[in-house]
Amino acid sequence: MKVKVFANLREIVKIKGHEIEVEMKQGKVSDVLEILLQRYGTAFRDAIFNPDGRLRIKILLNGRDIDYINGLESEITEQDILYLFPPVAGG
Amino acid sequence: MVTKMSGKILRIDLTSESSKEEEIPEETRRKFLGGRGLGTKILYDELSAGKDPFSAENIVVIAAGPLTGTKTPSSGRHVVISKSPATGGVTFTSSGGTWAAELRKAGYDAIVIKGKAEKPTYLWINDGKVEFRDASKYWGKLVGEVDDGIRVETDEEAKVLQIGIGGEKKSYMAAVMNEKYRAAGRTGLGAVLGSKNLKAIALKGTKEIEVANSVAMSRAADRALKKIAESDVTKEGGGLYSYGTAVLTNIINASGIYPTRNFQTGVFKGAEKISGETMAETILEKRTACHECPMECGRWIKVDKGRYKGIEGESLEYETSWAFGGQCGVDDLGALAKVNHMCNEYGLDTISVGNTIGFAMELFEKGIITKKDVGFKLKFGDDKAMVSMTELIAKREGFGDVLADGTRKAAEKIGKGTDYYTMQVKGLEFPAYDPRGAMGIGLNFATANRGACHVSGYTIAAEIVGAPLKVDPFDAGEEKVDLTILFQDFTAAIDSAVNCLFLSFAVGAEEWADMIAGAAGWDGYGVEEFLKTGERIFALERMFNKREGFGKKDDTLPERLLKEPMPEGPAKGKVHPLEDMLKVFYEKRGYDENGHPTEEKLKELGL
Ligand code: SF4
Repeated sequence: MKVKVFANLREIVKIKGHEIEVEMKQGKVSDVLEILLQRYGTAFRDAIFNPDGRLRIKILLNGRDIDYINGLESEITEQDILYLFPPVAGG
Repeated sequence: MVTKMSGKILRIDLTSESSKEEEIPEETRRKFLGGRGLGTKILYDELSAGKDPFSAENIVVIAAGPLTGTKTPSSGRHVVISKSPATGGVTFTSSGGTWAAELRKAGYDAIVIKGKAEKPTYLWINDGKVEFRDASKYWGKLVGEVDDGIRVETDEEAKVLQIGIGGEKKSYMAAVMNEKYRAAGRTGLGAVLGSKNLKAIALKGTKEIEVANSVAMSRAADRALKKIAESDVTKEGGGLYSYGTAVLTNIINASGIYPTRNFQTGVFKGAEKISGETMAETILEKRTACHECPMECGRWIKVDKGRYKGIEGESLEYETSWAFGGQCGVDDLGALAKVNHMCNEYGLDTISVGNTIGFAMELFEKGIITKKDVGFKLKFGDDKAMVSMTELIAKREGFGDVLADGTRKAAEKIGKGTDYYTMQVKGLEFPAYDPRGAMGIGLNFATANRGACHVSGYTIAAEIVGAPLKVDPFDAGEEKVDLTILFQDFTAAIDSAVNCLFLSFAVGAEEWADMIAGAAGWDGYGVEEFLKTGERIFALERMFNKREGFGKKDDTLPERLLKEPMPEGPAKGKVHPLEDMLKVFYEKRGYDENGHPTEEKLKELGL
């Protein structure tokens, strides 16, 4: 599956095309995050979690906020795309 | 009693070349604040129904508010209020920069313009001294040149607000520009000033802006600043600061509501290439900011390669990059910078111009208009055709004349059922959100008094961005209606305060109410009264529009969004459930079934 990162997260995950490949046939959003935390370390952890452990970024699974699916427990399969958006705004 | 903060209204009669000053009654201040509220009140009281927006009788109010120009954050905005040629109703459009702060330093909270000058004229307002000057030599000139010229003739430090060629040619998409790059873009008010032969207003002010209780105001402002600094969205180094408003491009596209090729779908393949992130990596030179704004969302860009090499200036907001990007199918940042620059120089609203060109591109794609009509191929994705069409619109030449008044007017001229393809409400073109995947913004687009306007009730903040709260974009129930109403009222109050709406990503109504209470010296002023003010203003706009014949029939969305399911992406299969939401909206607002405030509601609001 693919993970796409945006805005300030790109400064931490310095990867061409800003797209991370994660080998996963089936699993949960939390499993993917665990893999990424191991890969990108503390800076990544600080960017996606508040000190109190709450998520500080918005996670979309195939474009839908995981809060409206099953949160970090949302199921993932191979073809899915996970989008990680740090807080952004405009208009 | 007149509070200490009170500036005056400067009344201008262009027909007789005369001016006079007027106090703003305390009751009006407290009920309508300033900005949009004050302007709407003046329009409602002084412009009777049925007047042609281009007649000498139409009134243009340019207003600041009690917080404008003060030390409260992001307080450099002014609001232009008038009867719109695009919608036929009352409208407001606002712009940032520093012009509004200068207006207050010159001693005024608002300028009210009536009549029609005999020849092109500009106003030079220097600390309370008003001169009517000949602007003939500036007529037909580009915005940058006029700004420079007028400052040479008046004062190098003067702040210049003006119309461009778009306004002179009375395009319904003409903007009111200030300080070269800033635009009060929407609803064609540049054309109203053009019809009055008023080219520009140059300002210089050296007075101190007095506030009643500066300690109380500063205390509330500090709380607001703290919230800005703590919010991941608005803080220094945060998303908006680092990437500008176009940081939205990717999240809106990922959410499947990035209108593409005239709202045929909500997913644009080229989004990444024109996003705020790509801009920061390629053409961004530096950030820019309005008066007292720590968020610095403005971008100064420079294109240094490709066909559009050499384009430089303050440019490319999210909405603009969408209007010429997703809407026209163009994914070249250089091309977008080019048309943005052209719209600034000609004084045109980027959202409506891009939307209208995308509309014409769809007609071309469907064979409803051809090369014979247009003069060249007008295909989606063709940046050269887009640039040429922008030029023709600005000059009202060839097919550009057909498009120069926006999509509704163009469809009237073209016929053949083309109104189906107009993405507009009440005559105002859509901005960059497809309501089929965000139900609150759809309800707002349908009910906003000036037409398809995102900044009347920016529910996207909650539905997509999640700031300051987060809701499900697909929900269309009662709570979503409540949220939309709250956003509309809060915004109307902010637009009358007047600070930048972007503050509301971090700052709440409590801070705002306290800042106003401090500035005005009002005892007992709080959140409830602040939001009531917004509700009152929204209702008064409705009452103005009712007089002009508006009703439920106008609170609608384009048929495409109600009937054609979204073809792909996360919102696949969805249409907008407007009818059900609208019924609840009227009930909750205390409006009758035709969308007009009931007698009871008017009484409650003191109208
Ligand atoms: S957030 Fe942007 S538009 Fe608003 S006041 Fe600040 S710089 Fe200006």
